[in-house]
Amino acid sequence: MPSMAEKKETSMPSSSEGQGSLILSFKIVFSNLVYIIFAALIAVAFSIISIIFDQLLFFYPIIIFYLPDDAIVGFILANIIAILLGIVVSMNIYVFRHSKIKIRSTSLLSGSSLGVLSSICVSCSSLGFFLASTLAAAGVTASAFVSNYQTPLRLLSIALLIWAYYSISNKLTKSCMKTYLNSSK
Amino acid sequence: MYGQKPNEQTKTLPLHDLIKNGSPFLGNVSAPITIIDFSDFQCYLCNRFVRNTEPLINQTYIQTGKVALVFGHLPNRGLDSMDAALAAQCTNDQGKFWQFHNLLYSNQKPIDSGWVSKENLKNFASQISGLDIKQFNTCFDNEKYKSFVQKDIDLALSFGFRETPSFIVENSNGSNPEMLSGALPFDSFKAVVEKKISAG
Repeated sequence: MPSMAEKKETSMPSSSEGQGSLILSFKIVFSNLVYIIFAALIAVAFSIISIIFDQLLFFYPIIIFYLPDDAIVGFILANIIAILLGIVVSMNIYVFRHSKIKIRSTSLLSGSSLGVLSSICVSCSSLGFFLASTLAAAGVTASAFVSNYQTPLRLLSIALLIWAYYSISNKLTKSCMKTYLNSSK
Repeated sequence: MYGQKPNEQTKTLPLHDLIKNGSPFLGNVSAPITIIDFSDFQCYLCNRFVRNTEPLINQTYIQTGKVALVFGHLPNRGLDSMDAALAAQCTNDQGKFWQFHNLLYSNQKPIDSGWVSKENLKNFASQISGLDIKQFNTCFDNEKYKSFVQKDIDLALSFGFRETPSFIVENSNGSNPEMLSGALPFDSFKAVVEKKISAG
């Protein structure tokens, strides 16, 4: 028979508990300055890569940042992805380093890793030409698809990263709960 | 590739030769600087250049006789891009290239969504006042400029251009070419053009 504590651990969280765990996990990780810096570095790096691929930042003949009207939505979405990416990757690293329970590789794959990959793929949309030249007609079609659906793909990336955040938050709070329960036995 | 000098084996492209060969151009034939723009009508970054940068180049340098802008075809964005290039070159026969160019960019839709199907290209052409549509249709249906467009593509590839828009900024005799890639803002072109003007 499972104990009361174990029953509590496996039961579904209510919406307020879910929100609480999202905030709690964020506070746990980012109370440490190292993780704030790490998240900021990832976000800034990803943001710079995105604006280079989106042709908003040029280094030649002069260094110039340029945000025309048609690029504003993409710029905002890319920066949301960059911030979420920084948060999710930092939280994953925190869990790897501190968690006493094993994280199944499948949950990582379906969580933040997928979000990271999808975000990077969105940034690749500006590289369609290289696909086109190397893969001929199939490359043209692939690059056209990525180019045409740039905004929906970015929105999908944001959704995946939010899901990844939710997933890693649950792992983190469950891990804390288990540690707490084990220590209180 | 965001900008570099072409290698020594790359041919120079005097403005006079480009015009003689039938490349569409804007500006004065005696302009000291030439900008060759390799673009695709389906490319949204080319559209960004046309809407944001080209008007400023036109106003500042083309209208003042300092720069001539030559259009080069690099239809690599989608499967319908070649037809758009062929149609545009046919309008150049009747001196209507830039009207057609502006019409296509102002009506640009997602790549290969059918907006530059053969039928739609003919519809666009029919909207240009003064264009002989029969002559256009004959030119377009016979793919009169297929080899011309292919030469433009080969030329762009010989400069290492893979993406659109890409540019060559050179003296009008074809000397001192400088290559630029991407939908650059006006200030980037200004830096290169002013440098060439001041160098004489």
